[in-house]
Amino acid sequence: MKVSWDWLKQYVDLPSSHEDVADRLTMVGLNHESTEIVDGDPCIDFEVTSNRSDCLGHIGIAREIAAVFEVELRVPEPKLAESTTPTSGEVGVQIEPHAACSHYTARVIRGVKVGPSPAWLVRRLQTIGLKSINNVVDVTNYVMMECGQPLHAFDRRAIQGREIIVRSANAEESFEGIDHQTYKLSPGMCVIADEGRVIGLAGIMGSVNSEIVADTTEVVIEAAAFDHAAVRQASRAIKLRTDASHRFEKALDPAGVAWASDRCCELLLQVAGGELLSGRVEQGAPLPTADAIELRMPQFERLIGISIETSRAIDILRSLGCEVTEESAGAVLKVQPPSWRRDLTREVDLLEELARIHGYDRIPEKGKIGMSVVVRPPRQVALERVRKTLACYGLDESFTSSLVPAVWEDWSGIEADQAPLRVQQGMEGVLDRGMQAAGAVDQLRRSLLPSLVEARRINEFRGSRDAELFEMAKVYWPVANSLPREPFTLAWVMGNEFPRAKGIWESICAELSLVTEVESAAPRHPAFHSAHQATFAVQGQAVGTIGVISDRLMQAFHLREPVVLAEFDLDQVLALARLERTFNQLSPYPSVARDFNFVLGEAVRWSDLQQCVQRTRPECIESIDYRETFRAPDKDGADQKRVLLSVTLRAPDRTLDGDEVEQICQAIVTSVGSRVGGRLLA
Amino acid sequence: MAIEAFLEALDQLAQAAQRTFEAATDDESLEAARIEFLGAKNGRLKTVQKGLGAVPGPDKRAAGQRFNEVRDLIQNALQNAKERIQAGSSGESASDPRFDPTLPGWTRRMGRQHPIAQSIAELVDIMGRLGFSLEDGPEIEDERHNFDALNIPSDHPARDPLENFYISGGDSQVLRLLRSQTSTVQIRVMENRKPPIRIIALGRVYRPDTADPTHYPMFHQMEGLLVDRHVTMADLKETLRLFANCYLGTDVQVRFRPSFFPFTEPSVEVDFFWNDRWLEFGGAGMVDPNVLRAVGFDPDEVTGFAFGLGVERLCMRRFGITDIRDLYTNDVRFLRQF
Repeated sequence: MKVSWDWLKQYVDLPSSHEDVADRLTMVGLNHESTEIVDGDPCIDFEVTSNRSDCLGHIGIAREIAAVFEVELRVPEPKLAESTTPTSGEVGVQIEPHAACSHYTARVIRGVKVGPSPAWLVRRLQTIGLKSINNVVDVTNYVMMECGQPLHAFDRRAIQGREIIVRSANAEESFEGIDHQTYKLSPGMCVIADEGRVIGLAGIMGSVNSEIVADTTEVVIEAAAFDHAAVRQASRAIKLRTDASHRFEKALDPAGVAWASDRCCELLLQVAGGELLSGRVEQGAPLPTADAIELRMPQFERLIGISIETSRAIDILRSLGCEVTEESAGAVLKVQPPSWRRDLTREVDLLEELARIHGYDRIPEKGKIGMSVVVRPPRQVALERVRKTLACYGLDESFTSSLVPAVWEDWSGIEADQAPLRVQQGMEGVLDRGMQAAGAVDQLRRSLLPSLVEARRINEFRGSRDAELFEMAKVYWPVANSLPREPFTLAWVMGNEFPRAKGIWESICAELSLVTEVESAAPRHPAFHSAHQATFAVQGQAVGTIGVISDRLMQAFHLREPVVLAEFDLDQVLALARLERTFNQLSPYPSVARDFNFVLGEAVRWSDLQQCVQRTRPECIESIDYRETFRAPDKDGADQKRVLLSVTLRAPDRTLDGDEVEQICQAIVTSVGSRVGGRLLA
Repeated sequence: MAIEAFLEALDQLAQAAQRTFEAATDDESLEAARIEFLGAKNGRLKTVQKGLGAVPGPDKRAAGQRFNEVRDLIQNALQNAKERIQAGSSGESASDPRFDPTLPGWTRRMGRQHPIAQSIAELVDIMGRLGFSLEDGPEIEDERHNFDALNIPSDHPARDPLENFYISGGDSQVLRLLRSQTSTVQIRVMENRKPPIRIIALGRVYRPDTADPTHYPMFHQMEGLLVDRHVTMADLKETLRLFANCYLGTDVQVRFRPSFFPFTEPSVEVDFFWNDRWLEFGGAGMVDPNVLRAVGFDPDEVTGFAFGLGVERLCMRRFGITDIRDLYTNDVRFLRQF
């Protein structure tokens, strides 16, 4: 809301500089945006919150100044010289059922002389950025900017017949505004019409067919209350915002309609002359005033934390326009808020008024809340460990959008019975230039993998071919008749080295004291290469997959080089995590290491070999370390491999002597021979 | 074995051998070093050589070449050490032109936490010290938790379909949407618990703004809530001052400016005075009686305060980031700066 400093002087004796007033008003809720000196007159722009429609006019701002600086407010009382001819003989008003209008008034002035406005009027409008049109239009704008109630002037000649009809627009109806643009209307929008045609779009703009022109001599002044939601919807639908619609979108003062109509006619007679017909023609009525509010004075301290004198409270409320009476020896106030403050309906609303005018700076920065202790939830601790582990491996954390183009899921081949969740409108401006063709960003993702592949692609394109990224975020699965399931998910993308990816997962498990195994019976995951993938389980539950990217996904995203992807259900993993560690007694006895080089069939997996070794003398085997795999088909035959491993032996209670070590080694060789058909290479 | 791993093993071996030979001071230690690195049976060079067999065919030639170079290098180092010891130079020399401490150190790149994640961790930490525990809630919400219980009337512009991501898929008849604020978590916690309640909620929220340098349709909020008997605005001010002191590292003054939010009454904007200017922090206020009633609390029994802030704004200010979209592009040149 832009106000003219000079204009404000009409309503209040300004007690201070405009800079100081702007600062003080900021501290009572009118946020000072900017000040510009226009032709010597400061134009001060205040941000008005949506509950304070009363401050969308100069009088409202002046009232706040009066309350803050404790000075008197002067609101002009319109004095009208009406002729004896009744307005009702000239025009009538009908509000049709379902029209979004609760109150409509019309007045008529005959014999006006349309012409330029007087200098004072031009100047005031100019300060707040309004161009002068002619004296009639300027007065309607002036009164809107004075009290916040929009008005409209029609040329009487343009109204066919006697009746002004307020109705809902018909389908296929259109409207040409005074901006010479044509708007398509639809039912639900409220219009002002005569017998035949639309002459105004309620609360938004008048029509060019009834605008005030140079030879207009008879004007109809509309002042009305339109439904704020309907005006907002219409204004949004036709993408037209005006000073009037901006005001009507808020709940305006219902009692302000009559005042604005009278004030407008008073000024019109002054600047354009003519004869004002007698009386307002009106339909509908102002809203009944609300009941008085009981304000229990002790509630102020209970909520705000400081006390206020009852007399001070009464002064503040009265300065804002409330009627106040004391009850119970000042412990309770009966407060009747003014009609322009429809936001004041409850005790707590009045407490806020008292607090803001009394001054929030009076509240000390010291309260009475006691100490309280927060136990860090294990889940949070576990998550931090996961994050740190990933960082240790050089992966950078990324944040990607929860909404993705639908086609990404097709590319990654997610197979599910249910359709994914979609939103009604997509995100705008979030796709990289290279991905514009992917379509609307309106699907809630069920996997983080495509988002990470896209991030990898963008990095490749920008010259960082080594981007290794992880993300922890929710994915979304619809659930019938319930809120969706939102599993918290970990995923990463990295260079094409499966064992390194597996090592990261193993380190995460080690951090969380979990043992992980490859789940050999798991179904293939289509986002991964059909041969080079593995599903991992913890305590028998499959929790995620690591693998090389599928050819399809790689080609769809135009990745230059293959990558390894991993995705895990963190909710499952974190639930199984064990965070406490307990000490295991160290053996004081020396260890002995022995290397074995076995020749085995290709089909024998490391996990099988490891088990063969482990089961021989578990209490003496400290570790079994994989070293290397060689293949020498000319010596060993096809489909054979050589696996070199190292076994460390140590007993908890004695030194293993040479004989015992030999026995264990022999047992290992025998076990491997009998269970997986491996032979020791001489 | 990939050639990269083989070459890395070779390089490490060469460096280790050079260091060890240079460190040898007499025949005995030199002999021990010789056996360690060039021993015919179990020398480390021998062990690495075994890896050559596993290098894939096409890479073998290059691997072999490099192996020979390293072998010569180690043998030279042995020879030099031998000559040095035979020459009888018993003490260490005062200068060694081959020792260049300005060569880069051996580093291992650590991954970085995303700047938003860093900000979130800091907020959780500070609020935890102030006694606020972290609560989580769903990102896809119903109207009750996103609007109704928060005292947002059914004709409020905040409910406009154009202002929200309403869900269109699924088989549910109930209107659902991506939450537009983390206040939803307040309601869920209050529905399930009795005061005293002292929590924060932190997470992703969604509003359909077109992405530009200062807007992104997905962002993060932190919301704090304290409900108990006798909670006042002074308590709110104290909590925010302690938060600000902690976050900004010095004693900070707090200012309230009146504002309007449906779920608090009174509602205020909060500023911190820091480095000679007022910084906008976020919104706050006393929990509206209608919100307390919506979760079955009696506003004459308990009061509460709530505050909320945008994590991106704090994060961008802290790191000097000027375009919010950079936070979601995940260019590693960006991520690695933090």
